[in-house]
Amino acid sequence: MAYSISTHNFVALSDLHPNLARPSIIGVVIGKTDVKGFPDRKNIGSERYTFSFTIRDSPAYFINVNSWGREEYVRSLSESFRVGDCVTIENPLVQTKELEKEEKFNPTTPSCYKLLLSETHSVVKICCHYEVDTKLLSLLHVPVKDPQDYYSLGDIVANGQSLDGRIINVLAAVKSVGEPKYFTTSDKRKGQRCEVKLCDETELSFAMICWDNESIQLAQSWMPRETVIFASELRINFDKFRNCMTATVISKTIFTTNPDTPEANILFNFIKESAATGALDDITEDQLKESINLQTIVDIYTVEQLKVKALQNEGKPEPVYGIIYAYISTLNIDTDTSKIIRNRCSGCHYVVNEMSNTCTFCNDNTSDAKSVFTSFDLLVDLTDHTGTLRSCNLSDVVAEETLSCTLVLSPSLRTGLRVNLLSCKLADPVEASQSLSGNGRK
Amino acid sequence: QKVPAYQLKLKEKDNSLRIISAVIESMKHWSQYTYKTALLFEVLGTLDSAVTPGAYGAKSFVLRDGKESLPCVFYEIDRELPRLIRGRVHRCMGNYDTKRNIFKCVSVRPATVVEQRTFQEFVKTSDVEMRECVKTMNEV
Repeated sequence: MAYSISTHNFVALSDLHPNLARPSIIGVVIGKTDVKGFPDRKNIGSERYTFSFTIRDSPAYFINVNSWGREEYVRSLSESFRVGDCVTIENPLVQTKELEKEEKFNPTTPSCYKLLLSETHSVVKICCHYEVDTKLLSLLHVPVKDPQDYYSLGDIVANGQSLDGRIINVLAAVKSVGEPKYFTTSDKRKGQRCEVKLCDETELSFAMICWDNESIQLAQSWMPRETVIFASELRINFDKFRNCMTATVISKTIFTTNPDTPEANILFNFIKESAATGALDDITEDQLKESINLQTIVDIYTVEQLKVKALQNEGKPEPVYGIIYAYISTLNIDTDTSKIIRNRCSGCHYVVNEMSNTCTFCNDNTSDAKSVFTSFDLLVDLTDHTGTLRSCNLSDVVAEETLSCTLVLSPSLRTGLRVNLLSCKLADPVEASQSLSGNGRK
Repeated sequence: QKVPAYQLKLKEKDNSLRIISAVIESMKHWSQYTYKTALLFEVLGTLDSAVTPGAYGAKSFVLRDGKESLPCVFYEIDRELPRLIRGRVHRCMGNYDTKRNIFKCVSVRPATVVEQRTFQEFVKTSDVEMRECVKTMNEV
């Protein structure tokens, strides 16, 4: 199968062969990685850059393309197109794949070759969508794997930790796309993270985490409650911190946005209906708590900075989230036990009335009293070198944990600063000292 | 230059407790400001004496860092002092009594290796903060 725009004749990807002289190919870009630099072994002190992408020209055929070279060349090439664009490549080097090495980090392809681009020999051109055969563009909606070979989110949850580390395909709807968060790692590398919440008929919320710019950009183009994705080769992990299964986008992952398959259509209708009936908005306090993803909280404050921030935020409805490294300076466990341990309604998790032991919040008037469960409800003071946060709420499961302190802060004029600890763990002194020394006044 | 309202508010109101990591010398220095702002110190030092019992459940010992040494006391009121080993580095939280030259500890335990490694960095951070704090105190 060959496509032609203008006068060019293109070799079909399935016909590519190392012996072909100066082949030209065309395809839609279905996957792409971030640009990375590596120390050049031949040229000590300098760096070589690389990125790779995957192109497809038929339902059955797609191939990985690697580009190596100078930083300027690789960056400008990478920036010139995106997933979903159509490109032509003149004179790539056709190389036989070393299966194990190749497919550890690149998408699994049906081709036994891969393509190499070099600045001097190959030319990549971007085609305008209107001059591209619609057959080619429609490939963007064909999953790269058997459309029935996927896990529903419920399957993943049900399999649980036995899927930890496994690479699988997932069909799901996009429930929400989080803000990208930017951070610097302890070894001074810049990083980013974006969390996408997926859902399907079996699971209302499932986290998928993107760590690279390309997938974050792609995710930002998805429409919450409208887009359905088929993600091939996602990695499934057990998140010890949140005690749940999550998905991670890796360099092997290829997304098919709004796949044209019966399964995807059913899911699309489901999400449309759910969105219309408000089934997806039904957020109880519990889910709200769960939806605060601790890993997205990256801003580090001293006590003083947090107080300033809270004052700046006065009157705004949204809480301030952050991390502080501090000492617990008051932990009063000698008070009346009723103040440390409280009964909460198992229905809505609200603290129940102490006298009647009934929940006034969920207004349940049925005769059989709802069951209650007891939980910690402590007030602690947090102190660092800049001051003290008084009476922070430490309750429930969080009270039972011990490392850094992650806070949610909701300033209100009537009650003053209200700090809820979302996680309170023993801080790693190395991490704390690095953060504080970078944070304090100079 | 106009100072934002929230900064003024902080300056006026906030004199909450600070926990300061310090070497013996800087602890003694910053202690002169305890009458103006509440301070609690974290000091790391080598135990340089036997631990001796005294009146009212007191346990006394000497802590050393570099050339500085510091007489310390821990009162066993609600808990016992853990066994301390002479020559090892210990972490003491407490307050310095300037008049009696004694460090009143509320918590003493062996310092971990990581704590010892990172301590200087915490001391530096605290020093910068305290210098700034003292400057502000003098302004108000």
